[in-house]
Amino acid sequence: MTGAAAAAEQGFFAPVEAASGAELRLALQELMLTGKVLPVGAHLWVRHLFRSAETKPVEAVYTFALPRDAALRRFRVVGQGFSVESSLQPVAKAEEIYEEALSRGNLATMARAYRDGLVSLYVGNLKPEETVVVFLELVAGVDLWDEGFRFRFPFTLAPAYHPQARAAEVAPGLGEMELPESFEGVLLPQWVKNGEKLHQVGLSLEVWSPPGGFQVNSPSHRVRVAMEEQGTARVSLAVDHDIPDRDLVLDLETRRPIQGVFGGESEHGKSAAVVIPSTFFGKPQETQPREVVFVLDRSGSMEGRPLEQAKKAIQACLAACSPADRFGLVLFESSVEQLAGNLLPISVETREQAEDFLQRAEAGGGTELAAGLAAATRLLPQGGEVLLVTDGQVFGTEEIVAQAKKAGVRINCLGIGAASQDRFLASLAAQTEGLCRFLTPQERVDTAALELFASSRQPLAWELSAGGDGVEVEPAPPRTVFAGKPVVIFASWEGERGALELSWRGPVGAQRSTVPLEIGQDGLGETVHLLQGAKRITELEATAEELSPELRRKLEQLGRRYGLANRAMALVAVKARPGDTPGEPPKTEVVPLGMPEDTRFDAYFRLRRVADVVVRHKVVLYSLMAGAEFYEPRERRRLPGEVPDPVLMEDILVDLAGKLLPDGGMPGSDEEQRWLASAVLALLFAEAREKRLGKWFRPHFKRLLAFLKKHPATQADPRRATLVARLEAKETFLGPWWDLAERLLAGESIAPEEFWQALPTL
Amino acid sequence: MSLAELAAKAGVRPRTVRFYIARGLLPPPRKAGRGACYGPEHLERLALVRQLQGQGLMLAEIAQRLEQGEEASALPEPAPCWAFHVSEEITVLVRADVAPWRLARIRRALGELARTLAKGKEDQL
Repeated sequence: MTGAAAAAEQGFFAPVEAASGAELRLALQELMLTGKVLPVGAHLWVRHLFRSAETKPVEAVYTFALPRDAALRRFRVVGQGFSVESSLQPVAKAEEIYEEALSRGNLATMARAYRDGLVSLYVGNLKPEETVVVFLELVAGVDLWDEGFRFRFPFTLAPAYHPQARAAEVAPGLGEMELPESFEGVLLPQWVKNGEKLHQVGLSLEVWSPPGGFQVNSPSHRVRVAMEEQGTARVSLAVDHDIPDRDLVLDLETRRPIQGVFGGESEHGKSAAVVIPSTFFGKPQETQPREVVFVLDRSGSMEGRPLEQAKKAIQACLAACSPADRFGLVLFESSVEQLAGNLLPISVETREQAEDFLQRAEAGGGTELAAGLAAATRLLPQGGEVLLVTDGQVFGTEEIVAQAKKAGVRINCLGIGAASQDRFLASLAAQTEGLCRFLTPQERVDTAALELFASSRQPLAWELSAGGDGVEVEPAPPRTVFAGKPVVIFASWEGERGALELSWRGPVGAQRSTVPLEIGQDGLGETVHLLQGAKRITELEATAEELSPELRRKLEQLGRRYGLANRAMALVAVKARPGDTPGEPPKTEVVPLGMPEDTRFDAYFRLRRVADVVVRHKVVLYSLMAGAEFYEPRERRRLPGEVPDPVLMEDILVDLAGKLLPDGGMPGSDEEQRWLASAVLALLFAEAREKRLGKWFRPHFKRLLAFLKKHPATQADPRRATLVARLEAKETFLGPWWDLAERLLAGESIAPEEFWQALPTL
Repeated sequence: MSLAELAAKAGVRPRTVRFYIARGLLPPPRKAGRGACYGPEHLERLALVRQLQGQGLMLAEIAQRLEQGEEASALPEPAPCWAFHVSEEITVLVRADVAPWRLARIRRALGELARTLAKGKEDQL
């Protein structure tokens, strides 16, 4: 019998024990996320229910990924007739307390942070049939934009690439991965191809909501939103429970930019997080030439739709560049390829070269992100910016962030994926003064790339600094402000009233402003204090591959000041129960997780050895090489005359925008055809803007109008001049423009009579 | 010796020792009075496991090798493969050590097969 047939007969993909083939009995049964989510961060309580079905004592190990800017505060362990709270200890001391308690037969619990924001929760000496609940308190950052924010919480952990990591399928549908010694022995979960039989996850979150219009959505889960009191919405799952195969993503969108002072008084004094929308710093100015390198991850885990979308995104970004800009293009997986050894000007030829280069790219191999970024920075010896499109599935991220920081280029990150690499990419962008967005697999990559590219184009303010009399600002705010991205400043002060003084350089020179630090009665002092601590800790840890004695001392100091765990400080609690006796150590059981829904199991856990090794341990070992996918989902179609749905509309716009020539116009067989094609696209952009779609096409639209305006045909014909002027005045025109757009995409020409017939009022 | 002493002597964390016992890489401790006791055989086995790990083997492979003893060396050498997903129910494994031109031909043929099958499916619908 083949391995696969044997597996099928045993009930495919259920988590089974490698040695016996018996179905796994799960020590972790339920995970429930509660707490409140604010524009400046989240304060969370996660409830873990552990229950042992074994006949001997076990040690359950649950490894998870921290969200961005997050830190653990404390936990409470509740069992039959007891409840104990954790204490914060230096890691070595915590490990010692934990091991000693285990050897005495006591219930010991420890939460310890490792590299890459990995945290393990250890519950040791869980007795047969015993139920223990661990309530873990933590704070986490959110991704804040002018008109909303995104909160991500990892319910699963993505397997990731590391050159020295080893991975194999140890039983059908069960993958294991081991990291080298430098990861301090962190136990990664086992990954289960089908997570249906794993622990259940649920949530009940209080989400801050502004007066006036707002909307709460989740692109990852079906959620129910209920208004509670003024200022909060309660978000819970629309189904009873779910499985851990993707992150929770919650979006809050507002009509007006979010601003204000969030904070209050606590035992640590007064603290506040001040949100200043980017619009406060003015509007984007005329742009200067830009030097940008696009870095595209084509590793095996990007296979399929993410890679195809990313390619299109880069073409559309290139089309938004002006002839004065220069660009580079780098693709990486295990090796690095680049379009040219130096930056190229934007021209018809170089754009075509870029297109060919991208078309040839196929997914496969490892994720040598560091090498890709190094190649990009070599192209930018005078500084510049990088747009990185990746799923971020790498281990050992501290080294990458440290190198990128040294290189002195700004890295804008566009992350794609269902799981957990948000923390890494947020750090990478923050440490290099760039911007970061992280999308779920259900969202569009191309339009998000255009949006990011447009907002990172021109800073609104430079050299921003914040302070004030008796006001402590930590960590320092980002020095550069970009359109769309607000600034959040954490401040603490003594005395009745504080004032935050800001200074920055803008297009008109040096500027100053004062923000009064007025705190309401929300009682957010404690939460904001913790968020500030978590942010400082994350910044300090972002580049720390190994903890030097000095760094360890700093982290211990910060940990004690804010009462937060980090890589140097762990949380531990011990409970001596009646009848505890020393004996054999408990059996370690690592809590398995589901593969992230968008990552193919065999992108990591695949044939490592083609051999008939289905022996007693059923170890089928798979290779780490990537394959290719031939089948594709069927394409969406549109009937003539039909207005496309928003998704198809954006598809068409991205494709056409990618064709813009360096002079700002569309290509065509002659000048008349060029004029007509450009006018059709301008009409489409006008319509899209009306529908609140495609604000990221603004640079394309501007360049198109400029091209049409100075075209001799426009200057010679009053009818054409009127059309261009009215488009500039933000008018829209009904017409068969989507039909014409598809003909342009098919390479057909447009008859002038047909075009003008559709505009009878002109 | 105690777990802590064994770990210190072998230069590993106590957790590692416990994990190896749970994975069947180390025998469980001997009972001694009220506690657990480890002997030289544990130290020896730990050294062997670390050595095999150093050769790039995963714990699952080491467990298999330790259990099989000598037979294990008869396992065939590794042969990396590309996995091509032709359709939802078909995956074709191709040896990765073939010449690039040959792989290109195989790819093309598989692509054609994928298209044919996809077309057949559409016609049926």
